[in-house]
Amino acid sequence: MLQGWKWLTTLAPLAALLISTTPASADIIMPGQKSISYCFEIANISEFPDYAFIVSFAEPIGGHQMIEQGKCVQFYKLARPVIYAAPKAGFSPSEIPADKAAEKSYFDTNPKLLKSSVQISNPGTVDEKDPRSEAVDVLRVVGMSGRTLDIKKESVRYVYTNGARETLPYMSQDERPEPKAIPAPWYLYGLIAVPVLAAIGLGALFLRRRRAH
Amino acid sequence: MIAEFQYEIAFALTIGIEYLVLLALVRNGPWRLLLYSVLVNGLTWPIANVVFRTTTVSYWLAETAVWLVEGVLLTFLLRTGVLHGLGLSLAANLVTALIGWYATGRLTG
Repeated sequence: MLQGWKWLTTLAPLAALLISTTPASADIIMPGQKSISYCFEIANISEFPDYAFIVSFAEPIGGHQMIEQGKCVQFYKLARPVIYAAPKAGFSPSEIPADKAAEKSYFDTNPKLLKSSVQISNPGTVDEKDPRSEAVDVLRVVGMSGRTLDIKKESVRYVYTNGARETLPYMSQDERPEPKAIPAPWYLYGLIAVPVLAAIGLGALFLRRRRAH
Repeated sequence: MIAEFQYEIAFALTIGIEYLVLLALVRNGPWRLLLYSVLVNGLTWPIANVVFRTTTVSYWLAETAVWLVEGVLLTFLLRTGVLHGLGLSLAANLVTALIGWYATGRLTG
């Protein structure tokens, strides 16, 4: 019998080291708090094949990333990301300057860019008793007009410390839905259903043999 | 991502490894042995995990109980002697137990 969490403990530190690339992991976590994994994704980028989507982290550290369909964007918890769209015709990701000031100027003044006003925040740390271990904001592009990129927060997907998962819709764009009750993790049902099914299967086999005799 | 499926992976690995051990020792009826491996582990693995995770029962005590239960079940399923059934179960569970033990470096309990 292999204990799931046992072999995992040997892999987890290595995996965490490889995966953890955000500066947030280096931050001090206050007593009574814990950090949770956070990222956002745009659900319908593929509906806009003529546009490139970029997220800028002008404040406080600078930097930017291209957003692709299915890519979950992680960022420093204190960053304030701003999402832009640029017509792919005549745009190259390499044209965005790496220098922080020039990069800021590029995003502030480039007339080709459509800018979104959606406010995205990384929760960073939560109370250590909080049941969440991961959160993913799912955004949706709902329109483009002039220099405006209209993006709405659609839902948030939570993974809880007990392994359960839940998706909650955004009722207000200003407030991330909070988990109400932690759903029972799927494996609790599995831990009941699997032995019951196995017992039924074994019982059926034994009965069949008895009848054959 | 690995953490998400840790239970499924561990369960599938247990079935797969125990099946290969049984197949190597019995060398007869590969599909029948696969069915037995799924049923026997389906009964013992979830229960042993719940017991191990929620009580102070030691790893090796849980493994011993699993060995005995699986040994009795294999005795009936394979229509063999008790000692042979227990021996098969011992070999299969010893392999998975040692892998789990080695993978985590857990020396006691």
